[in-house]
Amino acid sequence: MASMRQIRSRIRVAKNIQQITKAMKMVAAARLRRAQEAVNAARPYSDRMREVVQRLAANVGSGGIQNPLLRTTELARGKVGVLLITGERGLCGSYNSNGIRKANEIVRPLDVSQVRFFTVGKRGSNFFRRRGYEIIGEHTVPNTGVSFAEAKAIAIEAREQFERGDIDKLYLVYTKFISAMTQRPTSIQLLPLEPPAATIEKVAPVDVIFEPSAEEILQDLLSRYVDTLVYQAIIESTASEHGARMTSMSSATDNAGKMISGLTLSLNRARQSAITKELAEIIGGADALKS
Amino acid sequence: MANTYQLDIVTPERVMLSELAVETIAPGTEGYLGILAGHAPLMTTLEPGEVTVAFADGRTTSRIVIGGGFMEVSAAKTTILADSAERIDEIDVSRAELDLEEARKLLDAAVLGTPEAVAAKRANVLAETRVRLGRSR
Repeated sequence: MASMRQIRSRIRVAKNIQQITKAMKMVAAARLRRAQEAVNAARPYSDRMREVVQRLAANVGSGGIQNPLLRTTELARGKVGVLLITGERGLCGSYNSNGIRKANEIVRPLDVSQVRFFTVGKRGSNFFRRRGYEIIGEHTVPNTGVSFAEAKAIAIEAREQFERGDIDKLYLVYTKFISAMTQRPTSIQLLPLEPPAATIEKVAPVDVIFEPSAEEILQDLLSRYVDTLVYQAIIESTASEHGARMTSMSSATDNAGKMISGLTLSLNRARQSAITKELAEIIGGADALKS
Repeated sequence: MANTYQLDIVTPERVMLSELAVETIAPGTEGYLGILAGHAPLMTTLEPGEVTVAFADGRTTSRIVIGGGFMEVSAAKTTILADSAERIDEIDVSRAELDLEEARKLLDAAVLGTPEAVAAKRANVLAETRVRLGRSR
């Protein structure tokens, strides 16, 4: 059995760790709340945006839309862009590795030279750089949350690659925020944009005034739509990261607590047995004198 | 009340405003336009500029600077999807001035007719509007 001193020092270490994990959990919980508010605040905008794009698409009529973002012809011989959103730091459960695995699923069937990465967060870019992939754009977002302008800059960078014909497809890999306990790594094909299905409301188009024309408005809105999707993905990922960190730090704190109580128990046992031993020695000594 | 309508101004970051309005004046792509209740259905893109809203109580108005966007007018309500929106009492004038300087530099550097120049022009207009309205309040 370990000596009392060894056990004491192990208890001290476990307590220190517990303090750290508890602090991280608290910070993550506070940030999660803020991130969640951002996700909720963004929902009305993206909902309305989708509605409007669908209604407009119905007005323009199918096949009538010509937009660089809808291009399906392959100009870049199957080159693919992946916009991967991960975190800057670890200690957040399987958040980063799940995102990376999702990206890997897309990338694996392709040749290394066919893929270009745009990344948000160091974790993802480090992983794929080590494996020889080309990282075109690397961004960091403050973990207090991203502004729409920052997200837009990232989206524009990726969009331009597509419009110029340097990539034929753009995938977006992010972590969908479901609740503080559950996050789901998700990948979608961002570009070419799926022409939003106009089948939802097949109402006879009302007489709407368009300024400028419906086509021009749609052009304008489609790029905005892409930016919104990217923004949404980033803030959801941020919320997911904080959620994942909170859960994993919470269980780390619990584990440290269990460890401390186990160690305390064995410390007490060790102390008792030491006392018993001493007593036995004293009694033994006294008996020896008596006889 | 027949002469009011629901007005929503939404940005990606927040719902800026959701109230009954009497009149809205917004910077459309083809010039400023005013929306009263019963306006014909309309969809238009918006330029950076000032949105003025007269509320249903007949007294208060609100002036908002938007960074471009989109407006949809239907019989029941009007929705503005703005890239950014700021009430003029929220504008930080000294920061707006810095932004304007920055925007001017970008505009000078941009080659005419490129997408960069268009973006710079928009940023410039937005910064100018913010400085002007921020000072005037």
